[in-house]
Amino acid sequence: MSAGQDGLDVRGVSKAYGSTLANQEIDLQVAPGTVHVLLGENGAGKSTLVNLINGREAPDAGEIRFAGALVAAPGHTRPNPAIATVHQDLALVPVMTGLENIALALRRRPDRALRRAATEIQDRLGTGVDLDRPVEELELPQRQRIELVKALVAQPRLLVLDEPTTFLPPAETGPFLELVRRLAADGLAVLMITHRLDEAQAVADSATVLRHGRVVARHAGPQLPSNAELAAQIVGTAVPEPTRPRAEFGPEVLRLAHVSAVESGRTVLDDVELSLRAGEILGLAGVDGNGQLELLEVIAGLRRCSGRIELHGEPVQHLPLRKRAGRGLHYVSGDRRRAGIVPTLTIAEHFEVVLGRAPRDLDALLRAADVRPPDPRVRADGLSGGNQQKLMMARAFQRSPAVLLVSYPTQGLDVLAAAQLRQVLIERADTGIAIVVASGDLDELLGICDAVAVMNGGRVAGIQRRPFDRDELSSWYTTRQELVA
Amino acid sequence: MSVDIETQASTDPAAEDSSARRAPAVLARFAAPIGLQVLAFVVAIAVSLLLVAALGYDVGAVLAAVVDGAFGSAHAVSSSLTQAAPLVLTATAVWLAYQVGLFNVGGDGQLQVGGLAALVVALALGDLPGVLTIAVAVVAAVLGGAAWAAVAGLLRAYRGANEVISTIMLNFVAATAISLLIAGPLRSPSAKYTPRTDRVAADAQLGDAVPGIPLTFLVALALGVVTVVAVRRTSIGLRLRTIGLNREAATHAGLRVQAMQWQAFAVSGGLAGLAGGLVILGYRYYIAPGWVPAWGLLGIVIAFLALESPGLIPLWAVVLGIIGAAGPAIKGAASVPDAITTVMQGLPVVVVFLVGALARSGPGRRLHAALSRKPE
Repeated sequence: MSAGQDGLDVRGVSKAYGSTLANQEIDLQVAPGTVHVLLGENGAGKSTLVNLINGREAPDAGEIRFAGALVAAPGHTRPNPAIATVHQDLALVPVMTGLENIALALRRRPDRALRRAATEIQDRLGTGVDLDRPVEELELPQRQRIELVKALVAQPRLLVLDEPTTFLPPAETGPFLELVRRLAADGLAVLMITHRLDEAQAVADSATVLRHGRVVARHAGPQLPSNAELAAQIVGTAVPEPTRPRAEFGPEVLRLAHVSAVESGRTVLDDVELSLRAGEILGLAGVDGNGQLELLEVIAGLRRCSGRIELHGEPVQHLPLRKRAGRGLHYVSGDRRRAGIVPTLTIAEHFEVVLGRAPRDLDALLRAADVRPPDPRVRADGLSGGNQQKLMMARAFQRSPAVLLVSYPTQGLDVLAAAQLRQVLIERADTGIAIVVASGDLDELLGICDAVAVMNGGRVAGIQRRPFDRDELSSWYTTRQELVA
Repeated sequence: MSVDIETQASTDPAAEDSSARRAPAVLARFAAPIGLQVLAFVVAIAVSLLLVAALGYDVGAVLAAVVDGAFGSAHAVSSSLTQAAPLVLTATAVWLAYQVGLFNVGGDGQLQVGGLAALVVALALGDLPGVLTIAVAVVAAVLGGAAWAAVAGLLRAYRGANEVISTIMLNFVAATAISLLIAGPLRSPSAKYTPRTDRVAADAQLGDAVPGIPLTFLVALALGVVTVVAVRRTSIGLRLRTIGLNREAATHAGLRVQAMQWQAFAVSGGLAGLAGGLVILGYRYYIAPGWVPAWGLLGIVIAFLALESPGLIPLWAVVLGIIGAAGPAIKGAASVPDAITTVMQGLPVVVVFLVGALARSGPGRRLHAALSRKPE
């Protein structure tokens, strides 16, 4: 697996931030015409490595070369124009057209020559995104195509894709991976970062697994080890994945009838009907931004709506969040930093804010919730993302919820923390709490939910109960169907 | 300035913490380590004296006048602390509003409305026993300032109107309205040339508690301490701070964010209003054009110097009070224009801000680090 003189050559690279060793003695080669997949959980050091390869930062040791030319070494960075990166969070200016965005990135003018180049690439990719529409009017997959065209117009010889499928609906993932294969077939070297094992299996010529900043495994393709084996390498131990046993449900606790919501003229929720029984876990699936968050916010009382929301048979749509919480309806946002924790306050203060005073047995409570460290005096910014999430969950459970709304609970968590969190949801549902959980990860929902509703354009495109039919669910991501209950 | 605040909050991806503390994030840069504050003070004095020398005046005489004006007698001490009293309150007012994420620039307007309310009440109740008059006048001052601030607070909480703009505008409204009142309905019959109001009756005036320590200063100090302790040590204070630190998280936690914001803002205005009341009852006794310097603005200066350690509020208030009270003395003793005292009051902030800016851009980083180090 030698890249020789033509490809990317990372040798003995280390990088530390403070006392955190983000990368340690990493070796990695990507040859032209091949797709190399970089696997690892959050915090494994993938992003650090991408920044080094981009020549954005200098390593503490080792060196990175591309086609023989030095890109980064201690105290030295020289971004190589032959390396293009498509970042996970798309870096497009919403009000500008696709062509203007491409021009902006390349510091060129959106003239005919640029249009010709971009169109040529679109032809090659087999995509046909309108380059003259403002990016904000495009769907996410199309925006990502623009990003890709933007990267390719610069005629790179190495393409770095940072978790490119995060925002793609399941149906779009396959075609995208084929596209990646085609680019490699044209002679491009591709380094793709992902944490989705199926994608790695589908696309990789070779793969490297990072854990805690170190290379723990290298695999030459085309046949990678099984997903279970890869997962074990990524996490370090086998991850016990919780699954939902058959559950007994209680009476109906939450009902939505004709719930619609409008935001600055745009319909974000359109005539939603839902029903939830005690002990039931309902998943909200769909491409991000199709009303999942808005629906949770409407139910929680953070957003106005028309229609009817009943909690224990009584209408609550006119009540503020505080009063709904008083009746046992609680919302834990997965956006911990923005809407969950207050970084400079202690764990105890987080409880005191909502309960009036910290619970007397807080130490025991924290240990039971597996918040680490279980010390009430620790500030929230001293906790990892997973522990911050556990803290917010523990606080909600402390208020004896009848209905718990959760958005993107495992977003940004590593594999182990995510599995633990799913386990918590399942256990709590078994105590009779009704749970609505929105997630961008369909597999996560299929694992823990009793029913999954797919949101599409603010509508419930369809609801399924166990046993799930994954293909039918996926089909609802892009097409509109009548309510199936 | 408000534009700065907005862009700072939205374009600084590096600072995770500052994104949580949104609106006045940029102002937090004033929060300076104590070492830096001492340095700032020394530099400010030095530069002021250089200025005095450059203008050809006698530096020694000025220094002597300041020292004499500040410590020369019980009366001198008293007059310094009399100036410090409103500063303690206006600074505490700004500090309090900042805890819920709001920037109260309206201290001057609230102070003047509070002063007006106290004066009107004291004049109307002139026949009552002094103690009673004082009590009612003080309450009126608090309510006046609170009402004036509540206008901006309500507009901010429920209509999103930027409180910086609205409080600045309300400052103008207050000042102009008071000018009209003292030229018209409140004008004293005995005012011959320049308009002014009647004086508060002698038995309703606040004097020194003990020689050298004015009652107004003790009242201001007590309320400042109560406010800070309430915010730092009580459950309600914790909720207020939560709102200021992460409004979104506070909303999700079910706090009554809008109500608490405007109410805290009103209390902030009440403190500034009380400052005005104390000025009337313990210092000026009547209102005439130019009856108060910009104590509200000086309060902002102090609040942001002492943002992270509010215990410094009274210290800075006393220092600036001494400098302010020294104005007439140095004018008299050394015939230096008393504008120099305003320069001396403003310079510390400029120095702190400069060192802070240098600390971010490189050259001053080491200095800043050295001065930030906590003694342990």
